[in-house]
Amino acid sequence: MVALQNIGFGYGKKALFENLDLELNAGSICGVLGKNGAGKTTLMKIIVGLLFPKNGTSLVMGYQPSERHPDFLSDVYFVPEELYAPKMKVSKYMSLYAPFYPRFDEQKFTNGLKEFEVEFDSVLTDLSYGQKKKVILAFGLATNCKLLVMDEPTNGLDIPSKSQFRKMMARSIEDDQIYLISTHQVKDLSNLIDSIVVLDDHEIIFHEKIPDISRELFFGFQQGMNEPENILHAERTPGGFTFVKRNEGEYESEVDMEILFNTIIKNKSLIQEIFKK
Amino acid sequence: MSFNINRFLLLLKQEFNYWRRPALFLLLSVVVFLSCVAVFMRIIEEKQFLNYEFHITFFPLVLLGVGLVMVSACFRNLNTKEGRSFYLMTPASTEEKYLSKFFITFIVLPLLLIVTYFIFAFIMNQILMITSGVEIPSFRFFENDFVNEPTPYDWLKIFIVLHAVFFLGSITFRKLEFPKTMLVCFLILLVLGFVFNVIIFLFLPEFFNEVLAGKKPPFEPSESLVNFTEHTLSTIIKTAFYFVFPLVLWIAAYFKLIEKEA
Repeated sequence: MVALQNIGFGYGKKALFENLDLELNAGSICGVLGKNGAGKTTLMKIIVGLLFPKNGTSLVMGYQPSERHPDFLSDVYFVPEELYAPKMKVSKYMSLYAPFYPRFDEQKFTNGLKEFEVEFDSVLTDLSYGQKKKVILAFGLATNCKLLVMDEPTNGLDIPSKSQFRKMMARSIEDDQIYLISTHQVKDLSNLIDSIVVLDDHEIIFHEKIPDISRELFFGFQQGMNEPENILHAERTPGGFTFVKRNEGEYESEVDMEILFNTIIKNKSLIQEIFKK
Repeated sequence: MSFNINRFLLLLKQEFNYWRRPALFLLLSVVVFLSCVAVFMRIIEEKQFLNYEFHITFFPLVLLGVGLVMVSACFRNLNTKEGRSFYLMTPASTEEKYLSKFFITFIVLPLLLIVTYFIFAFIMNQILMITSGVEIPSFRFFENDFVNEPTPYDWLKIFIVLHAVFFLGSITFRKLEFPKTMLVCFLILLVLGFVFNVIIFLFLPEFFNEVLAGKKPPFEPSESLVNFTEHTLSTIIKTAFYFVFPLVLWIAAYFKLIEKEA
């Protein structure tokens, strides 16, 4: 559904991506992780056609995103970090923009707003950043687009809304859809995403499914002051250490996104070696 | 190139909605301002102004002043970070987006301004007549009382030409589209005037010196030359000014939009 091959991109003379490859299949919620400036937003913008790669080929749902064909755009919804909210009521916003999306579900939108506790008659420009984000997220989910791309969707959401949002996404995804989410707040993606893409040093250094990660890596906690042995990475937490090690026959543990990300960044080649097998 | 009438109509609906409040606000401000001016002129008994110069002064101000400011702002979304993503991700082609903005600013906007001015002139006339017996001449579109002054219809033709200029300006400039377009127009006219004078100076130095000295040109043009300049050349220049020039700029604006969307 999304196929990027040998993508090269840079701002001015500074290269951001060189020979980047990425393939995503329908029916998944994929998290894009990376440090500041790693290129998460840029990657998303290339996929939706807001930025054009300097070389390589990109094909999304059979379209070249850079052509911005209206049929392609009506099946892609992008939630940027910086939102555009025109001065109008939410209900008006829906009546003006929903007709562009043939699979738009009005019921889903109004239910989403109810869950987020945003009034259907409120004026967009009068809402706080978090509330605007809730409207746009509810709208994005209601479009039922095949590709829903969200850049830092949980930024600005309060704690109950983050959990609400996770539930809504899990409920909403269909077999023919991809949700692509970038975030700094990796914990917000826990128990939600089924594959992870990690960007670092101009390339994708990790792209795996959650069950595969659970099978290959073990996430544990050891009490006490001594750092556990034979581990890939450990982090001191109150009362002990949270650690990651190779899964050598242990049962499959729950993936801790934050420590996984740090492990990948610090042990890039070792992690790649483990997952090559 | 792709054009779908349903998407175009949806974009028009968006444009109407986008412009509704600012247009209403601008029009009301203009009507209030003009009413104040008319009342003030009545108080200081500027009958000359009320009787003859009112429409000649204010109609172009409304049409060009208000109209061109609004034309300049029509691609503002494309020039802000948040608006740009929103504009580009709207499921419609470049042609549909271009034509929807063109239709609003080229057809709806001048129509709205002219109708508003008609209504304003009528109401103002009634008010002044009832309160003080002074009558401002009724607003006529194709004629006025002065032979040498342009009619509202002439101003509309000038609006069409300037629409093309400011439409291109609204796509080209990221901020302060209206003053920047004005400045560029002024600089271009300055350069053209300078080049024209240099050409005359180089090729017709005697003519240049005599004209500078305020004397009669050293030669009388022949009758055929006068005929040519007053009829054929004048028609060519008018056609170029009113049709070719805006057409070229609208086409340039379309290609500039494609470039800007990339």
